[in-house]
Amino acid sequence: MSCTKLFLPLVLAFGLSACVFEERSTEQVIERGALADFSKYVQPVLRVGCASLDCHGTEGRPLRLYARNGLRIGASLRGQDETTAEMQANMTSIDGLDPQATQVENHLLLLKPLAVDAGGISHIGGDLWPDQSDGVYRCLHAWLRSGVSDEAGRQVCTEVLP
Amino acid sequence: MTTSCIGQSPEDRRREAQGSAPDGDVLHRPGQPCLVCHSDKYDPGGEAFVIAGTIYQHPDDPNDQGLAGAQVSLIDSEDREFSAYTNAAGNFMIKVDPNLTEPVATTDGRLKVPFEPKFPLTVAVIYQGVDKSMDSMIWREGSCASCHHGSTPARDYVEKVWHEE
Repeated sequence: MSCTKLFLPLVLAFGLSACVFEERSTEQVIERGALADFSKYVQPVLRVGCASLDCHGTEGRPLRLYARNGLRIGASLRGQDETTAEMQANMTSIDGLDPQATQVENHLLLLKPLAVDAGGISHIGGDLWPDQSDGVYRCLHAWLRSGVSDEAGRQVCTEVLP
Repeated sequence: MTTSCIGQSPEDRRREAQGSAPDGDVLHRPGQPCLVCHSDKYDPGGEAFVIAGTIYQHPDDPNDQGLAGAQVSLIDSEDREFSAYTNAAGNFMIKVDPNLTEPVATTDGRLKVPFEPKFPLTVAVIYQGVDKSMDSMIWREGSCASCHHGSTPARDYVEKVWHEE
């Protein structure tokens, strides 16, 4: 086997991974997206996968989330959709989860549920996403980088809804 | 001496918060969070369960008026289905028995399964042909009453596990 045949795939693979890494590492966390986009694209995803009463629908958790069938601001809201105040509180909770993070991929919102083998960090709720290609990972990535203001982000959030 | 220095553990405090009541059989303490005393990490009750709770006909039924004979049907994240049946107090309890080859349910509310159920779980209560599914999944909590204990002035939580509106 010639050296070219042996090393060319390695060179291409290294170059490709370098490009991907470079692209990801430049994505910055924006200050905060719009309430309307959070309500339409992000809250439904959090409601299903994160905000149950035995997980993040619990007062005192660093990421405390209100949701329709989970924790409510007031008992009279039981059975109703989330209120504006609850969704604003959820956005504030995400803001406060990792205020030091500047790069999207380093934000705890993405690192905690990501499998440890894929670069995530320990999460009491377990490894929810096997890798960064998971739809929920990509949806929340879109929230952090653009507030789901781009069509690609909106599409991935819509696709992961049950 | 060590105990007096450190004080009570959080597990001890949770157990004491349940108050005093007769223990020792499958009918005791309906409506309370079973795994406070029956978990694999802390089991002063002498037996560890993975899922356990009490089913009621209506959300405002008194604690001691659970629904007997209801089927509690669960599916874990590996698509394994298993069902327990509530006893005279409305209680059911699920434990792991690796010596079994298939789930075994008894009329005293027990269900033994040969595997450790993998969360998240979907759950439904079936009684007299009516199937009522829980809207959300169970992600980690094994005691129904940890979430289903009704609201207090300070905290809002969902009502008891009930079968009818």
